Amino acid sequence: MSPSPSISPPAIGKPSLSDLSSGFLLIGLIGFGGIAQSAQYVMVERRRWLSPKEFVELFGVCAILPGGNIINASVMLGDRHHGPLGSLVCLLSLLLAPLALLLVVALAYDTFSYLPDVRSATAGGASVAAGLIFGTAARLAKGVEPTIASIAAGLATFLVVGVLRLPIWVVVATIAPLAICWTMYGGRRA
Amino acid sequence: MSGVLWTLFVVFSTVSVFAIGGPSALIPEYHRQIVGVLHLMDDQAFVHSVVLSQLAPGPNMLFISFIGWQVAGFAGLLVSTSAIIGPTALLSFGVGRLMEGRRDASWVKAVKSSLAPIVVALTTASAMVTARAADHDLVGIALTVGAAAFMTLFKRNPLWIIAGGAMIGIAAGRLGLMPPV
Repeated sequence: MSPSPSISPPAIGKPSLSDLSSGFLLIGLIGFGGIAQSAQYVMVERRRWLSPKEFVELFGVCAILPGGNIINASVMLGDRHHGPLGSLVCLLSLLLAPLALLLVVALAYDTFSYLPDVRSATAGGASVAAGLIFGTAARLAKGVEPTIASIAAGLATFLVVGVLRLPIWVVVATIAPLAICWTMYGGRRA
Repeated sequence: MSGVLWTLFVVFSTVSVFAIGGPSALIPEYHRQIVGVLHLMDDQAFVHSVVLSQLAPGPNMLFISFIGWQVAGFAGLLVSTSAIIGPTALLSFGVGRLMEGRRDASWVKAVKSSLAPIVVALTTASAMVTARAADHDLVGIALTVGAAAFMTLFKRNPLWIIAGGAMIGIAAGRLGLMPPV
C-alpha cells in the first residue's frame, strides 16, 4: 500500500444486492431535511461503496440530469453492480420508508399540529436540517481537487444559483460546458 | 385510468423531464398547473403539502407523491410517484450505462471532475435557501450553525442531531425564546 496521507476511507469492492437494498432503505429512513447528507453518510462513511471523490463525481452527473439526485444515483449505482434488477431494488428500497412515513407524518400532523410543542420541535428540526446541508457541502468539498478551474466553477455556480437565484439550467447551459472544456482542452489535466 | 389520475400522470411526467436540480426547483411550475390551470387543489392545500412533505425523511420530491395522495388518495400517490420518477429514472439508467461503459475515456473523466465543484456550490446554495426559510431568530441560526459544525466534525448519524434540534426547539418554545411558526 502506498503511504498516502489521505484521511478519506477507501471504497471497498462490489456491494451485494442485499447490502445495497438495506443501505438505500437506511438512506431513505434517516434522510430528514434533504437526502444528500444521509446518502453521503451511508455510501461513503458507513458502507464505503464509494470514495469521497467517487461520491461527489456521481452526484455531479446526477445533479445535471433531470430528477432527484438520489433517485438518479440509486438507479446508476444499482445498475453498475447488479444490472437493471439492481436499479429497481435500489430505487424501491430508497422510496419505501419515506413514502410510508410521509403518510404517517401527514396524519399525525393533522392530528397534533395545534400543540405548540409540535410546532417548536418542527421549527428546531428545520433549522438543524439547514445546518446539515451546509455540513454536507463542506464534506463534499473534500472530494474535489482545489484547482483554479474547480474553484472558479464552484464560485460561479454559487453566484448564479445562490445569490442571483437563477434556475439551474443556466448553470447547465453555461458553466458546466465551460468547465468541461477547460478540463479537456485548457491547462493540465489532473 | 380515471380522468384525474390521468391528468396527474401527464402533468408530473411531462414536467419531470425539466426538473434539473431536482423536482423542488419546479415548485412554482407545479403550483401554476395544479392550482392555477387545473384547479386540483387550492393555494393553501398546495403550500401545506410542500411543508408537510419536508417533515418526512427521504427525497424532497415526495411532495409530488403527497399532492397525488391529497387529490386522489392512494391511487393518486402511486400514479404521481411513478410519473415523477419514471422518465428521469430511465434517462439516468441510460446515461449511467453510457458513462460506465466509457469510464476511462478522457471526456467522461473530464465531465465527472468538472461537475464535482458545481455540486458543492449547488449544495451550499440549497443550504442557504433552506436556512433562510427555516431560521426566523437567533435560536434558529444557532441551531443551523451548530448542526453544520457537527456534520463537518463528526461522522455520526445525522438523525441524532435532528432529534436534538427538535428538543432544543421545544425547550426554546417553552421558554418563549422561539415563537412557534
